[in-house]
This record gives sequence, C-alpha cells and structure tokens, in this order.
Amino acid sequence: MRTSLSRSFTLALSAVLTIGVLLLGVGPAAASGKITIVNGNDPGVGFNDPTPVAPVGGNPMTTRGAQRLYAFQFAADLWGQTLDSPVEIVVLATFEPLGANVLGSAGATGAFRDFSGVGLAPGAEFTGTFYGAALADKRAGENLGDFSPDIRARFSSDFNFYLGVDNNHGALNDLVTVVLHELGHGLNFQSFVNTSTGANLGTDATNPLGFTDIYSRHLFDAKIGLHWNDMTADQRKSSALHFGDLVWDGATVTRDIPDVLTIGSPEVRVTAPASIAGLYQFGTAAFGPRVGSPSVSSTIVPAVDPADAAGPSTTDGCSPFSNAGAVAGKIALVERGTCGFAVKARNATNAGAAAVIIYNNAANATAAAPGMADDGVNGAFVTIPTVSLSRPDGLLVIGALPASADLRVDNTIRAGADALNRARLYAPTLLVTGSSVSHFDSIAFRNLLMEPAINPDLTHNVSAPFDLTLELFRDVGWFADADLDGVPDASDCESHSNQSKTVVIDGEDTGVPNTLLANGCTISDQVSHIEAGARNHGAFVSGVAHMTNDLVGAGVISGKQKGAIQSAAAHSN
Amino acid sequence: MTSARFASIAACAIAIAALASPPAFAQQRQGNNKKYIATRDITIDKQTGQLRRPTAEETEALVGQLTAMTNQSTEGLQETSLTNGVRLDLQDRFQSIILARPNADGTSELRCVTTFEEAAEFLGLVEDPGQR
Repeated sequence: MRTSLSRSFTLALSAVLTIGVLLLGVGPAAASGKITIVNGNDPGVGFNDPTPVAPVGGNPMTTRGAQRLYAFQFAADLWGQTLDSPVEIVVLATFEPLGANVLGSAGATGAFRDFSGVGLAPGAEFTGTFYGAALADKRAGENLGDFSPDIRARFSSDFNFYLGVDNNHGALNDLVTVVLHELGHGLNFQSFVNTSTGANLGTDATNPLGFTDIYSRHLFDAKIGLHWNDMTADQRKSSALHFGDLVWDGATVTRDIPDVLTIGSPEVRVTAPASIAGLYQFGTAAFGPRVGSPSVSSTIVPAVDPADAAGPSTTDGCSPFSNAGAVAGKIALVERGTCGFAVKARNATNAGAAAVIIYNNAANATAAAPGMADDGVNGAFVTIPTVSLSRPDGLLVIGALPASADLRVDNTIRAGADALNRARLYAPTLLVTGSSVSHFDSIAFRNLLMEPAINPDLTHNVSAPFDLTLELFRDVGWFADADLDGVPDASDCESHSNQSKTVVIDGEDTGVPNTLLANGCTISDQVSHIEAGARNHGAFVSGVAHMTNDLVGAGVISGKQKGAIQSAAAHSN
Repeated sequence: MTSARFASIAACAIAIAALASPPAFAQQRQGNNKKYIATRDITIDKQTGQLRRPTAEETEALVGQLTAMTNQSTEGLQETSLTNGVRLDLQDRFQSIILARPNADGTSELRCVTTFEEAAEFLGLVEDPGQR
C-alpha cells in the first residue's frame, strides 16, 4: 500500500514505533524455487533410472529417471510460485515398486503446535492446534526444530505416467497433476483426525482429547452445527460420513466459489413416501446423459428380468426386462452385480424407462454408491440418466414402495457447494467407519484438483477461476507474502519491500542499515512512500526529516544516521 | 546454494536413512486381521496383458499394504518439546494414497484415499463372508 506524506502517515508511523520496532536484518526474498525435491533413490532406480527415453511434452530429459525428477520438480515449482514461505520446503521423494494398484503416497512428516513467530512472522494462529510441518515453518519464519524433510512422497515406478509438463497426457495419467495433488496434502490440505475413531492427533492416555489441527478448525458440519474442533471424537467420527452436510467454511474459499463452481447441483431426491423422503448420495455414470438432462420426476419401479445365463437373479437387470410395460416412462430400479452397469442401463433404456437407479448388491453391502464405468460397448446405447445408490438406500426404497423420486439439477446452488456457498467436503455415507474429509466433494464442477478422483480434465492451475486449492491454503494460514517479510500482503505497509542492505536515496548510499519495521516497511520503503506523496522537493525533504526524527525517537537509528539520511534526501533530485 | 538450503538438505540427508528405504510402512505391523476377497478385475496379468481378478495371495498382499499405508493411529506417536513449540513426528502415518483401477480399454481411473475403507471400496475388496 502506498502512503502519502500526511499527518495520518506520521501518526501511523509513530504508532508502529511506539508498539515496537523490530530491528531486523532484511532477509533474502527469493520468490521461487523454495520447494526442494530431495532424491531419495539409490543409483540406477527411480529418479536415477538410466533407461533412455525421448523428450516429451516440454520435458527435455532423456532418461526415465531424469524425466520423473523434472516433472516432479515442475509440479513442486508450481506450488513454490504460489506459496510465499521464507523457509525452504523440503520434499523427500522416491520412485519405487509399490505394487499393481498403488501409485503413490504423500503427507506431512510431522506436525507442530504452539510455536511463535520469529521476527515479523505471525506464528501459530491458534494455540493447541497442530499444523503440518511446511505450513508451521512458514508461520514460524524458521525451520522448527531443524526438522526435515517436511513432506514424504513415494511414487510407483511400476506405473506408466505421462511425464510431459504440458498437460497433453491423452489417455495416460499426468504425473504433474498427481504430484500437485499429493503435495497439496503434504502442504496441509489434510486433517490429522483419525476419521475411523474421531480421535484428534496427540491423543493418548495422558491427553484423551488430543489437539485439533488447523484444517479441522474449518470443517463445519451443518447437520450438527459445530466445527470439528468443538466436537467430541464420536461426533467427528459421525460427521465424517455426513454426506452433503460437511463443508469448508473458510472465508477465502467461500469468497471465490462463484468464480469456480458452476450453478446447478445434480441431486437424487426421493419425494415419496414421506418416511424416506430426502436427498440421497448417489454415484454417476460415465455413459448416458448427465442427471438433469433431462430432469426426471416419476415413480420408482423395480425392474424384473429372467433369471438366466446373463444374470442369475430377477433383479439384476442383465437381460431384457420382462415388466417393460410397468417400467416404461418410470424410474427403473435395478440391483448391481453379474453384468456391467452399462448393460443394465441399456436394458432399462430399451424398456422405455425415463431413468435408472442401480443399487449395490450384497457383495458391495458396505460400499458407497459407486461411480459407474462404461464397458466400451453398451454405454453408447444408453439415452437415460443413470445413477447408483448404496445398498442400504436401495433396500430402503424397496421397503417403502410405492415410491417416487426426482433426478434433477438444483439450479439454486453450485455444484460442490451448499446453499450458503460453502464448499462441500468428501464425506461418503459408507456403512463402515472411515472416510476421507481431506478432499473436496466429488460432486464439484468444474472438477477440482483436490477431489478424491484425479480427473483427466484438470489443468495445472491451483487457484480461481480454475481451482480452489490455493484459496483453501489461504484459509489455513498460507498467507500471501510476496516479500517474505512475515507480514501478510493484505496488511503489509509495502508488499514488495525494497530490501537493499542500506538506505540508498537517489543513488547516494547513506550507509544506514535498511531496517525492516514492524509494519512491514523498510526505511527505504518509507522514503519511497514519502517521495511518492510529496508535492515537491521541499516537501520530500521535510517528510524524510519527520520520519527520521521518529526513528531516532524510537531508537531505530542514531542521530548520526538520521543526518546521513536527511543529507541524502536534501541532495536528491 | 544458500547456507540455509545446504543445512536443510544436509538434515534431509540424515533423515533419508530413516525414511527412504525400505518404505517405512512396509515394516509396520499389519493391523487388519480380516480376510478380504477381490470382486473386480484390477490386476493386469503379466503373461497375457489382460485384466483379471487378483489371486488370494495378491489380494492379501494388497490388503496388508493398504492397511499399513492408511494408518491414522496416534498410538505410540511421541511429542517433542522444542525451543519454539511442540513437534509430533508422524512416522509415515496420515498419508494420502493414490490408487489406480485399470479399465479394459487400457486407461486407469485414479483415486486418492486416506482410509482403508475407501481403498477397499474403490478396488472392490470386500470382506470374505466365509472367514468366520
């Protein structure tokens, strides 16, 4: 913020000096490259794999290992360019065999609480609150306890990632996107609550309540009406499964949601009978029209098909429906199993159904409503909206027949937000305990980096209007601080401070240390601000005289140093 | 290289011995004593290149791996008082895991999970009804 030479400026400066001047050395202000990847692989493997490869998608390296490291560092730099930390973030990373289905893992290596800020750094915002290592270091302004690395990341050397950095990944999975996502967790897109028990981090026999964490402080359950830090462990355990009601109430995410998420939230609402009416968690299909295209409001009719070679039960929908007349124009209800989702949906289409609901079978009794993949054949013949329900929800409907439902889009709210524009978090209603709350809800659209699914249409952008991850980071305390002086840009006297070692005025080096003041301005900044607001040279010299007098009064500079600054100001043009 | 950067990398090098190899989660006790069966074709057969259901042994290994990697227990985690604040070493717990579920067309769906339950649901691992 620029200030002019005025009484208000002088008063403000005096107030700053009265509160306390920080006699700080001016630190380095490297604005990029603050995330360092430490290659933890042995020679010949992982990041050191010498297999020759051709450069791809902007990745110029010519061995597989070097390409992995280049792409990894590329993703880290994307975060480094957006997160202003005076403390280097260190990621210990390896590529290693992780098995057929595990592509990687990442997270903070440690958590810190009740730390203070060094210099102007603010320290922890709340007492008794854990922060992930990287965020804690930023807010402390130092590497707490010399603890390193901050993040541990492992990735699979068995998997064929796209190693280009241009996001032109085609049918492959983009390593840069996956690393962005995983580092996001390590950078504190992460609750430290055990979601299977609800226990806080640090819970033990001597401290049965443990300590909350900064992420969980922003988890608000609209059903219970409490934040997670105000809940009991049992309430948190329950809340982790409150589909649609668990939201992020941080101000920055909420502010930017209108720029990111589209209006129109798809929903499955049972409308009758009243005993089971309400919104239901549902899974979507990768084939056929989306929910709401068109909206369907109708009765639910269980489909009946022959028990035959295609499917052994009369509820699996694997053969042409024998009650097509009853299903026509209605919402067909089919049980999961034996044949693919697309086969069932195709049979429902052929029976003239307006939509189809597929509920989990006994083999998936404890699973959430699944996402439904196409089989590459039948999906093309599906012309009606197809959704899935969990088995308990499906049986609930069957037990309450006749029933009716709406499959539609609620155009009063945004996809992935609640009615108050708060971002929904992923809290699937599994019967068993344990679900992630450290992701945005998968219903969000546009698709977000920190949804549980790594969608192929993600960009490499991490903030609005493309994404909300940086906004969430702002909410947990990754404040913008372009000059790394520890003062948030929003309240910094000068967000891009002149950090020369000495005060230089119009080329004349005064030799006076360019001290950083408690308001985030250096002495040079103050001089520049006075210059910007001065009507003429005389006003500038007078303003500098006032300022330096105040600095002497506060003990920041000596009388001799005051003279040097005033002299340089007088000589200036 | 700045002195701060050198110091952090040096500290990291020390930490590598504890964190890098072998994966720490592989050494942790497997806390999931339930038996699971696979209900989806999630394994690409090395011989045929075709999707198939994992064998019982492969399923057991996968369940053990996922159980260890999704450890969110606070049991045994020790706090350390520092000059500035309190540290808790997470010992590889509270990790987020990226899983792949291959499709028949050669593509893979990716899912990030933090609990075993989510992982099992995504990969189609269900408790063996005949285990009791």
